[in-house]
Amino acid sequence: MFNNQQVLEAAGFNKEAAWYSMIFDIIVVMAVVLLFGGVIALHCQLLAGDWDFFIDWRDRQYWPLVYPIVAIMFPAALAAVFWENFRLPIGATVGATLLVLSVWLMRWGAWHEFASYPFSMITPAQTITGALILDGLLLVFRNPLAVGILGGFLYGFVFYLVNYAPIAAYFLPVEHMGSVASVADMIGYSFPRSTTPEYIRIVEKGTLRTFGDTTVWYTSAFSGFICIFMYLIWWRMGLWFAQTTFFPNHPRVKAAMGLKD
Amino acid sequence: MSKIRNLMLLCLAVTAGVALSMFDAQPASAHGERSQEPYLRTRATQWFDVTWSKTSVGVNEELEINGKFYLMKDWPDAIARPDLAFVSLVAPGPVFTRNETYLNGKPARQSFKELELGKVYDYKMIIRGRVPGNWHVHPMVSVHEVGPLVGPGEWIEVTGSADDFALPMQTITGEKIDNLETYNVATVVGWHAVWIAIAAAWLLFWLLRPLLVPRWIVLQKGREDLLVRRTDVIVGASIVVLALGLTAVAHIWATTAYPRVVPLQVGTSNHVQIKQPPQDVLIDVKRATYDVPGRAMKVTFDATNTGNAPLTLGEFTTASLRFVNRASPQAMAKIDPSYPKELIPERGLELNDASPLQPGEMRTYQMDAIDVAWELERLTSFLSDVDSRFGGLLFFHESDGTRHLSEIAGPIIPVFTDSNAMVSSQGTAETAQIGSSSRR
Repeated sequence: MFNNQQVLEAAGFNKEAAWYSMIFDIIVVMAVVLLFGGVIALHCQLLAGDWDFFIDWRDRQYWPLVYPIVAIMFPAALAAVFWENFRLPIGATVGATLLVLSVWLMRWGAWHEFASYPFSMITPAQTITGALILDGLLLVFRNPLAVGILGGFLYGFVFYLVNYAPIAAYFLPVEHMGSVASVADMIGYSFPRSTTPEYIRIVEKGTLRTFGDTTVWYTSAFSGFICIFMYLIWWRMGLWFAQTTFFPNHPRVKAAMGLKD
Repeated sequence: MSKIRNLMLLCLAVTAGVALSMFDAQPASAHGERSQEPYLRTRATQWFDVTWSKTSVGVNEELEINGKFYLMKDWPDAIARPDLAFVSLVAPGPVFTRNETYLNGKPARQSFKELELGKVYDYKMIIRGRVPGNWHVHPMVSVHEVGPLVGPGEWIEVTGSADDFALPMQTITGEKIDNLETYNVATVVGWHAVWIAIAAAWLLFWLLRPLLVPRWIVLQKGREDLLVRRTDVIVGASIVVLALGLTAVAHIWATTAYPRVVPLQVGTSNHVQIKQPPQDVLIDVKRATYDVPGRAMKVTFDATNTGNAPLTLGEFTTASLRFVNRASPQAMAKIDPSYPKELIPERGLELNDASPLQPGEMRTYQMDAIDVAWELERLTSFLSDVDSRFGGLLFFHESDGTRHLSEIAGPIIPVFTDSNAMVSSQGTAETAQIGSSSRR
């Protein structure tokens, strides 16, 4: 199935070199998993956290817009590094998978076990679908611009569609104290968060009047549009930050560190 | 070299010292309401008649928190007006669930618009024990662009087992929810597991190969054909088709399984006004001081009874502290046994003239509220405020117990003499005289 032997021969690796190369690969994979698992989760928490933290922030206007735009950044950068240096079309999937695994770990450990939040309130979204599309298209087109335009758009557009399926049941209507609420609203109300009053939610308030009931399609399309630029910008940023540069040390610094000039 | 080594050792030692000191950290309790600015607690909202129906409940058992709050007319300039507010409670996380809340008798699941200054609001909360433990619970009203305005807190014990908790519900479409805590979680986990499995398969397809150095070398040699084969491209295209197809299937399934859904409900409510307590006594603050060493707030004010009944000054309350005139039986009758004792200073309210204020009478009161609670509650940082003012409520009582409410507010001056120094309406002038006579 794989042409591993051909690759190793082309690289000029004998058996021993291949063995040490594999060890090196394992070490790097572990480092990437630990480092980027935390970094990507922190990044998404800071920039789009609330929409992903709570079920009663999963609206049709801001959640499908903000979260994909934020979540595509690191996967795009990783995709650039892995593709340009190693022709590995896995960067986006690595980023998205690490994100969802880290976030689940955080929700279980910090939110559920430590602070007693129910899982129904704090289930996260996932961006693996869009990431798979990005990586697959990268393999097909081998052109970041084409991937950015088509793949970036699809990444943003499919986010709501694929994440609505798991949480659709939370939008069933309930009658509470004489008014209608969704199950998600009831979860947010029933399990109090002292520093998160109801009015603080940045969610759809009916201001997109022209779109009526179809808000989510327009939001998803706009999200896809912005994701195109996010992908292309962060692709360049990934390459720029991944380059190595050497700064020469001053002779005095070298002497202080015991190095002979 | 030795200098750098010594510096590094010093840094390590400091880091170790800091790390070790963390083992001595005391557990945090309560909610930091004492860290709120004094002007928030004394001049924005005054909480009164707060009761907790029980101080010990089992898991799934309900308790009620009732009470009132008054929005001060002397609202601080530093914070926004209460144009949007939400009635809630403060507890360490969702250790209770909230069943119902009411503001002035209206359901309060949503936020309320345009609360009015100078008005009393009545609230009720029905909450249910969820997580066993001893929890400090306060009523609270959150105001948009201000933050939480926290009422008095009481320790509530929740007994039993958290595993016994359940919050059932029924939807309008007929679905029965056994427990809102765990509802639909399995569906979410299932879908995520599917996508994680596909991602894992895609990653393994690439990771089970020489990864980094060999691929980099081969790429430098221009043999990209070995790194990306036709098979790989077909698999990549298939992944795209699979992802898009599964997305369509998921969405069709969701819209078919749950055809009748509603979006998140975000409308705000208009509040209704309740009958206000009589406010027959007009208050005019003449002078207010806070004796820092003596922990004494002393206020001189004129009170005019514009009503028809004699009224006795029974209580001064601010920031949930209640200075009660212990000589007034009507005032003492208003102390609910469940009210936290640490918020009712022992010495009570001291007045120069506690006799009833007759209808039409104007009297100058000298009111002293003396207790270490001012410092314990951290209400004394007047010096750091750009606006040194105090605020509170005065309760007057008729002989039959009918209560009248008056807002009291005005500038306040800190005094730094010891508690034996005479502080009169001349205040600092007399203090200066005493100081100068002692130097002779």
